[in-house]
Amino acid sequence: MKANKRHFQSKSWLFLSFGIAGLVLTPILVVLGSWLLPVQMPHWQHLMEHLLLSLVWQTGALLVGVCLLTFLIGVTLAWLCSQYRFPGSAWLKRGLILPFAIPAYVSAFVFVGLLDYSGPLRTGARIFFGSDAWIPEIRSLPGGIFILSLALFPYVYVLSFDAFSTQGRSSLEAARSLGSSSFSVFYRLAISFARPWIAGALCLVSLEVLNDFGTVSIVGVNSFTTAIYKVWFGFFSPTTAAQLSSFLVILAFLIFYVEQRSRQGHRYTSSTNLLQRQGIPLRGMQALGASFYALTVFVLAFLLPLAQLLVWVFMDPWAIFSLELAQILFHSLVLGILAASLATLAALIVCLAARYVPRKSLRRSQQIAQLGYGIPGSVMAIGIFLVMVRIDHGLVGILEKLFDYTGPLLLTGTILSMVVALGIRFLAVASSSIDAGLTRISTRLDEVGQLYGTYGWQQFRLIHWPLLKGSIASGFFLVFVDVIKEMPLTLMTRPFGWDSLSVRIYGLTSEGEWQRAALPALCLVLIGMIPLFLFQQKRS
Amino acid sequence: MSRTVLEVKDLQFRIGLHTVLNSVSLTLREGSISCLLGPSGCGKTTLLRCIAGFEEVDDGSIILNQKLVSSRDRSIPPEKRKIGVLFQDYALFPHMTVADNIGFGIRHLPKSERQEKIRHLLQSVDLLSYEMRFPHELSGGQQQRVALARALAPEPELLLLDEPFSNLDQSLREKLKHELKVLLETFAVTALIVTHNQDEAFDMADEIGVMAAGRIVQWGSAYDLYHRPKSRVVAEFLGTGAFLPATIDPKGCLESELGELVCAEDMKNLRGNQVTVLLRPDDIVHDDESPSRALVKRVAFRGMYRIYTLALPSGAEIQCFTSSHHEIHSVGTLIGIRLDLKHAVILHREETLVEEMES
Repeated sequence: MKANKRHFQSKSWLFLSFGIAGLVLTPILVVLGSWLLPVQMPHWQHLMEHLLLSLVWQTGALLVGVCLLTFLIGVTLAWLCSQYRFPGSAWLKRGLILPFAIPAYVSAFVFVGLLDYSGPLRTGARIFFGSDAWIPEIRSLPGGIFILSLALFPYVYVLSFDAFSTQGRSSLEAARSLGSSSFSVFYRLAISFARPWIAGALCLVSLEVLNDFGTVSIVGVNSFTTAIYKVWFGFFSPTTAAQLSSFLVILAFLIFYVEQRSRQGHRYTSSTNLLQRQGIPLRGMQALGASFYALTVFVLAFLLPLAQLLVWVFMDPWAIFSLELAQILFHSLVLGILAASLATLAALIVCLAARYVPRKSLRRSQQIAQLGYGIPGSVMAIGIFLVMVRIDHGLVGILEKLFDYTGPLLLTGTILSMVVALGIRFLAVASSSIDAGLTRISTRLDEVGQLYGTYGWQQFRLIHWPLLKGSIASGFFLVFVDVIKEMPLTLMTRPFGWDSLSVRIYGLTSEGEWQRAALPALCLVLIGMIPLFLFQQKRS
Repeated sequence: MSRTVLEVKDLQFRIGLHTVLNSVSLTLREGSISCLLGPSGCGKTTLLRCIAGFEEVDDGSIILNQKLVSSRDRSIPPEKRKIGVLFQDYALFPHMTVADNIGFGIRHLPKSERQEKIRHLLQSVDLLSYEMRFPHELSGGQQQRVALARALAPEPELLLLDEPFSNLDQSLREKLKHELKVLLETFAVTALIVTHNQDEAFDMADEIGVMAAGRIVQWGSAYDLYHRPKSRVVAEFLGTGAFLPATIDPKGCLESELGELVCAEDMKNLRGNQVTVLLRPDDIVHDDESPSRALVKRVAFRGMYRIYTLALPSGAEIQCFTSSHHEIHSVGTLIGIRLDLKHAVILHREETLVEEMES
């Protein structure tokens, strides 16, 4: 559509939007371009001999395993909860998104702690059965798959629940009326039309697996993220770490691309309340079986970790009032607020630019700005680090010439670079919330504004801001929570000795201090629960 | 003769290779209510958006109050055109009260003057007690009146209305059509309405332009368009009707399978031509006594009357009204019909007018 372009301050929108897209692209291009830097053969030889094969195999196995298991758990639970009624189904269908609040690395150390040699399970097994050999080892590849699946299945659950209860509702009912059994309806119809949703969810799960650092290091699985960390901080070779990251970037982008494509298949047709629908009542053993299954997943994924955290915290309740906790909590909050502000502001700019100046290039730039979400935190960390070091050396060089400056680097390893890295990574989260809000505002309203000469800043202040502030706030809040839960990127870009909740959890768990890690973990879980309540309100 | 408010000349508008508006011209006089009528996709809304200044035109010109506002290399922005628009979905600001919505276009006025004006408009649209309500608290009809008041507040030279009734249900439409017309006349505003509904066009407008495929195919009064269509497109779009093939014989009479239709002196020089005659349902009267027989293919009950779709022996279909009290003839039977042509619209096979004549 040819609109009245000349009256917008199109130039400034263009520069701002392209600038942000460029900022997001830079670390990615740096990682991909790292092969132009000298290849340090000894490091690569070491990697080839000792690490590469196992990390490719373990990352692959982890990906496939977690996808399969989250698919199984997520889709079956979504089907049961969306189509049937059984004891507890009314609150289980809401409660099953609660595991989102527990970061995988938290439930990882809880399970490791529970299944420790001195933990309650093994001790009990030795007392009652004389042996604990039958209890499986959680610090293993299957253990990692199990823990990650419990933490990530809600992605599949939520998206397929929506698919089952909106998209195909009437065709499911039609199939029933034509005499299909419920199993064949599920298998032949539901799965196939929910495919775009399920595929999208599995892509998100895969991205989370590739991004995961905490869980794999706790259960001792070699993945790309841990290898990047080892190469960077073990060999002190950021270049090799970046080169190693480039494989991960390509893999992650493939998945990200599929995910973005799958979204085009999402067409919500119904706006009625998804959670209030009455399902078909199950009876007898079927009802019991369904309840037992859903409850087991809920207990393992949410209740058990939460209960164990509480037990650990109450073993030393005074720690709650310690200065130490206050300090890391403060760090996390500051980091969350700064990074969320940056991400929200940048997201707002790219979204508004695409709205105000109807050009294809600005839509493109909006899409590029979201790429950060597809990059695993460790990769983003190394990319930002390489960029910052380069800028820093240039800056220090200039300062040396002008003012005889002889101090350390100015940007690298400061809060600034950490905030930028986190802001870029989570820009997509803010952007999807703001974009959804903007699409709900009819472009007719913009045109009414134009009729009376409101453009640019005035248009935003009078029309868009009042209608958009809710979406902006929820975008800000989602980023805030994501930033606080984020581990690898924070860990790898933080200033020396600067601890946040997630960094402290990493430090404590790497020394096996499960009980002391419980308090910061509980804080994380509580903070993580807030957006779920917001989300739940939105769904109903 | 009243002043010309809007003049559109040879307007061209393309999106890529697709020509949306093709050489469109029209003139609106002050105080008139006109209507663009056409099926969806004919370009009528695009024309409205070009006039409002939301779209830049490729060629031709739009002149508002003797001032060129749109041409190939000139586009005055919407806010400088003094145009009001009543959008299809009303586009009320959901975060503003009724009063704020109405006051949006007159923000530059001093406060007291603005409030005075808002009150006056609220009174005119009979919403005085709704000043502090929000749009979502109003009914569809009330929202429309708020949108109208907002569009009229800056006293525009021209008011554009885009499908003003499409968001309302049928029963409400009848009532609001009348209300809107009265309001438009009260404010004596020059208005251009876009609609795909012929009843709306007939009820509201003094003059109607029928649009098809990016052109205005005919401009005139409702009566003219219905009874004197200049092309088959217009005849087909307005009302129901059938097209009966006929030939002109040497005496200047129209011969069809229903017999001789009409004769005229000046048709003699067209003798031998194959033509089509437009038959409206009221041109055909059901008469059990009549020797002409037609096969009933469908019957539709419409309350006051029934519409029979009839097949002539050649297979050509025509339509006929009967009173709904009249005994019903079932599908597959033959009924008697008689022609009662008040006037004949005769079209060439290639759809241009040959002649229009009273009989």
